[in-house]
Amino acid sequence: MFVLTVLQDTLRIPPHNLSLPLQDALTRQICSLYFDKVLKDLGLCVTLYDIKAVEGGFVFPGDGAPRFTVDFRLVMFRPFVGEVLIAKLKTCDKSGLYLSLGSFFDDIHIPEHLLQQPSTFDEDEKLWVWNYNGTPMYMDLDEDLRFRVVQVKYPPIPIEQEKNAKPFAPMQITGDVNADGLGLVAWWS
Amino acid sequence: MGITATKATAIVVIIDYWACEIGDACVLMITVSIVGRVAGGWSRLEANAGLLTNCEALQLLQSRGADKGFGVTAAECKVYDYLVKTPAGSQTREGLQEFFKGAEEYKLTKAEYLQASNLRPSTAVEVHLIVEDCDERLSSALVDRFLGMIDETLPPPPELLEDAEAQKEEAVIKADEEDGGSGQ
Repeated sequence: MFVLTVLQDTLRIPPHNLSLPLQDALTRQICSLYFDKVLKDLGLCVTLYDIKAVEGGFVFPGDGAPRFTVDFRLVMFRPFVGEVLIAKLKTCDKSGLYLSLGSFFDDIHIPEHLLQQPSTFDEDEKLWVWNYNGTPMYMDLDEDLRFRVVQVKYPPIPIEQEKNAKPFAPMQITGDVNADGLGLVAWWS
Repeated sequence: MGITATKATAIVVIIDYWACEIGDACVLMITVSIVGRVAGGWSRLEANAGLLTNCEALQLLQSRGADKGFGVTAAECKVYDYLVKTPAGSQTREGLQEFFKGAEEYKLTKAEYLQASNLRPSTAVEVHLIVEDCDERLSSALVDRFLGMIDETLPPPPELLEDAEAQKEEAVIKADEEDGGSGQ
């Protein structure tokens, strides 16, 4: 689920942070630039692991702030394909299920064709039902659901967006629940 | 005067635009919305510098102060709140080391060890889910032994632990009541 990634960046320490120890000032800067952001192909940045090297400290003419070239390690949320995760079922519609991972990551989709077979959408209850040997198994909202990662996508940033469009998701996970042990956690315990 | 530019580039999406006349000049007005959660300006040195278990991530967040909610971002707190409820919430580094030592004999891949420690399987069906081609690689006796080893080295998730403690307390209270009843 979590992976370390080494990055290099030239950070500008704003003058009001110059009274802090260098390590703290850099940490603050990395925090504001990277935390809770998606880096393309690297995943969602969770936190800073450590700072490996700091170089420079050059002040450009006309600028009241030094710039440091910093090598640092970030903890990224980047599940690998085939990883099994447990998330909460947030909403569902005809196209499948939408899950949320501890409210820090919401863009998980289980498309209809990757649900347990045979599954049908109950129009009255607005829930998906797995027909297990004649027993209807409802996938209730807010239940823990175990799924396997099939694909992690980083769609390009749209240039134009409709006025009422869904907020853009820079990282999307597609999941699969069509195997023994997958689906609601309560089914298998 | 020098022009200063910070590294943080806001990425915006154009929603609407129109022309606006101010005096003689015609100005193009643009409405944009900021697309958050994307960072830029970095260069990648090593994408895969190592895997972290949930327990390690949790302890790192704890050391940054996520359990007190002070000096950390809201996003870190959310991750912390999620991890505390997973089996990682009751794991210790020593327990994990013992687990990885004990798991060597099953010849699993790194990712499979990681999954086993993060999810802490308690039934055979969960082991089959984590371990690829489990039927060929592990016999059912080995799967049972693997489950036993997990049970010994890794504590149950915090929820179950609380339940077990609550049950124990209830049993103690009951026993006390019975003792008190028989004493009178």
